[in-house]
Amino acid sequence: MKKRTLGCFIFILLLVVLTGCWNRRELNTLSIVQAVGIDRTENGQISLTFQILKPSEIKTLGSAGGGGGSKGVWTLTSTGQTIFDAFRNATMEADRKLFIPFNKIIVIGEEAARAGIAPLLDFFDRDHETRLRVYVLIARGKTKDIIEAEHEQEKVPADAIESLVKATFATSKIPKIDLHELLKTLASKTSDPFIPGIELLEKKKDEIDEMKEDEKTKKVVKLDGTAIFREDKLIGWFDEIETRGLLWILGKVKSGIIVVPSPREGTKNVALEIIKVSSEVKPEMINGRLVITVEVKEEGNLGEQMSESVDLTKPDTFKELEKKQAAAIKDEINAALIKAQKEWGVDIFKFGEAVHRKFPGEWKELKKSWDEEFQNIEVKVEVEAKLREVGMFTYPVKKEE
Amino acid sequence: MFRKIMNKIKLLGFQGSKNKTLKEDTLTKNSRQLSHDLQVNLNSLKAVFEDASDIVIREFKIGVEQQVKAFLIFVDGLVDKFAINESLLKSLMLEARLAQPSQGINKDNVFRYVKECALSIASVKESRTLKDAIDAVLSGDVVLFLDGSDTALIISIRGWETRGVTEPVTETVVRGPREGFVETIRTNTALIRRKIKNPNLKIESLKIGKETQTDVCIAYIKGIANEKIVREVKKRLERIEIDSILESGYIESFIEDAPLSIFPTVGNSEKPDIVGAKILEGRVAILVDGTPFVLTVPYLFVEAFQSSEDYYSRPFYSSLIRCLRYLSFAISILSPAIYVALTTFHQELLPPPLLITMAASAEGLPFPALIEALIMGITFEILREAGVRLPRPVGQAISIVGALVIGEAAVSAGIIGAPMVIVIALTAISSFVVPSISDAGAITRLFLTLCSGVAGLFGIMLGISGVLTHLCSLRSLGIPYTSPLAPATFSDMKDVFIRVPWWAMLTRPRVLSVKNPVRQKGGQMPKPPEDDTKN
Repeated sequence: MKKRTLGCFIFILLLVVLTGCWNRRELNTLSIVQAVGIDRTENGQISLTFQILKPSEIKTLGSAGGGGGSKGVWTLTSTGQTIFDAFRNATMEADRKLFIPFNKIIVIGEEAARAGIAPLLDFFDRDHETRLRVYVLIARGKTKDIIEAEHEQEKVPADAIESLVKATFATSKIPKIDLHELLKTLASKTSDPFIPGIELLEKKKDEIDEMKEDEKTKKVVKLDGTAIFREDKLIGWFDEIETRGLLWILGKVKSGIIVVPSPREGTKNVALEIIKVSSEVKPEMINGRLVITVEVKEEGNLGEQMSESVDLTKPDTFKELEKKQAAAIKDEINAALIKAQKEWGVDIFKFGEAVHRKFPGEWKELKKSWDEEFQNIEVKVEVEAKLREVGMFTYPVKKEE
Repeated sequence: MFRKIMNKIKLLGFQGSKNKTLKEDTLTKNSRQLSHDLQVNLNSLKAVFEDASDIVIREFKIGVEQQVKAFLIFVDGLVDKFAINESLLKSLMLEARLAQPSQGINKDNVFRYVKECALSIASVKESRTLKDAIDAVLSGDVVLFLDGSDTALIISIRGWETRGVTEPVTETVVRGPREGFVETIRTNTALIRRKIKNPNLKIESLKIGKETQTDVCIAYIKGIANEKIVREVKKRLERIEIDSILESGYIESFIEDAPLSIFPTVGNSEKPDIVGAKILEGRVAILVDGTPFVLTVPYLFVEAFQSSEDYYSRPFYSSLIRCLRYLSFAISILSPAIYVALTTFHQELLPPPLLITMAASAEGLPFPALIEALIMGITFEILREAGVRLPRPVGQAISIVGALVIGEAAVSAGIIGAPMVIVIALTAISSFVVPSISDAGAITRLFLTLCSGVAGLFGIMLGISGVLTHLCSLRSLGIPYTSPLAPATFSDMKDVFIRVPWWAMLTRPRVLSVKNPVRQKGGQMPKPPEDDTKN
């Protein structure tokens, strides 16, 4: 009995002394990764680019009020046979263990994306340290340049890019895709994924005011277009209008501006702000043929008008504006449909899932040849657009008569 | 190794019992009857009080013709000298001569005469044994021996230097009575009696301590307190065999239900209003001579979070403050542990900006977070202890210097991280919010920090389950320590996390299984007069 008590006592003492055997890691032994770029090298290997925080630099930058020569991050590139291999190879260069949970963005190079993204993302799905809430982007160019590019307001470039992605709701011209959503789409048998693109622009001096004198040009990161995939391989790009067309169908338009010509003066523009959107994809069987109706209900406000003669006190003008608004939305949707459905035959609109839900019985037959079916579906677009408010005053800004 | 220690303890116990038998011999010798012969009594007392320079024996004679010899014996300093001169010696030596009975004073009638006619003093008792007389002398009474009578008179004119009734330093209040107990048990019982003017307030006394013969009183209200608990308290007190009682802590350690637990199962207070309130709830108070700290039993865990001021201020703020006390207790025992767990095991749980800030301050620190937490925790305990023990002016200076050195210098020198200093400071402040279990809290904090250093949040969870299980296993005088939370007694919840207004406090705590649980009748919530509502 006493021996056992003594044994227990010694065991507890040992526990205290032998701390650190488990996966203990101090804060100052971690390299906090903020962004990961994935490329394929010419000989088929994986090349990873990491953006790693320098916490002490960030802190001094903060207290010194920004500026200063040193950056808050550094970039590390490593190669390997697989993603995980490249990850571990990075520790040969980084003096600390890479710590991935706070990764904010994954940027995949365009070339790598054309070869297929599914194998590249397996690690991020499988590993317990990675998170599914990171945003995924396709680089139009080299990922390393995009990850290394400096930003004016943020100390950490990854923060800036993350903010860019989060701000896409203001225009709805670029989608916002996180890893979880992407993996879900990839797992679907019929739907095809799409990912926002990002590119590095070189702006000349006269385009930017604040620039150091020795620099002739400045590199600026910009979100641009949407990469459209067939299964997991990139096949082409959507421009801004087509992207919004896609987002209308998916009901993902949050806000944005629709520019329509003025009802009286065709050359002058009126800007309408998107306030509220709901959309529905309704598959129907008409005479054994599949017909899909896309219903979009939109409400907007008059945000700005550059014409002088629009009299907003008259209901007619309002009606006309509403019609033009609906037409503009319809055009955007059709642009997306033509390119994705007719030209490429990729189901980025999740029509297949809608049909599956509505006609589970027929789906068993349909899904076998869904790729051909999809291209031949008749799609009706119905847009109901309303205009609610006109802003703080009714009359245009002009001289009093 | 263990066996050796146990043997030693047994040996010590044996020696103790030997001493006890010796002591008992002398006691039996003293418990013999007093003699008729004054000289015999005088000699035996002189033998007992040999070499005791503070014992005064004053011999004198009573009467005119047949003078009767008598002597007074008392301890110098414990009696009221003025009362001895005025009420004792003057009336016995002078006034007895003027107003002596017709047949004169002689050996046969002197006892009756002195007791009934001559002594102008309120509290007079008789004693027939030498032991009683000696005890009385030592307790501060004057004992009067008269020739020819085998009974001594114990005259109580105690009077010694005492501290006045002042505001206790340990339990200050903004609102509420400011008086505190003192070191004299009689004053303390009087302070309680002044709060509860009820003949059912029983104050039973006994003496504990072979050498010190300390007066101990138990106070309770008959008809409210559970008789079983009162009996149990008495039983436990009577069981104590100790040579000395210098503070109520001695008694506490003998009557505790869980002597090996770090959590106290006996409460203490220095304020009559708190003790009065506890007695009125059906608890039993134990007063000990020589200390202002009065014990109360049963003592439950939730009592640590109740302050007397909760009951004097308005209920809303009291309830808020009470919840904050629970929160700050949790902070005080958990925050270093959670900090260690988050920085060494679960960095992914931190919000990214916070992680960056913390990682920045962790750059270049020489110690792991656990060691840092231990260093700072121990340093804080040392500072606190130094601040308490040193003379007040020096203590403050030490605290300030310590805070500067540890807070400022350690961080700027890069030895300790700034977040750790903040965590420890928060812990320290929180731990003072619940002072009565802050000592148990300090040990729990250390334990949980070690748990967290071993296994992160899993360790903390294991540690907390351990502590909670332990708490639930405790009893105080048979009452579950964690009640009324576990086992849940919903009628008592009115005074746990919130404090309901007094007109809603209808019952006494049911967990104490009091005899009369009804405190007052319901429906006393103040309303506007009926005339007003009509208008």
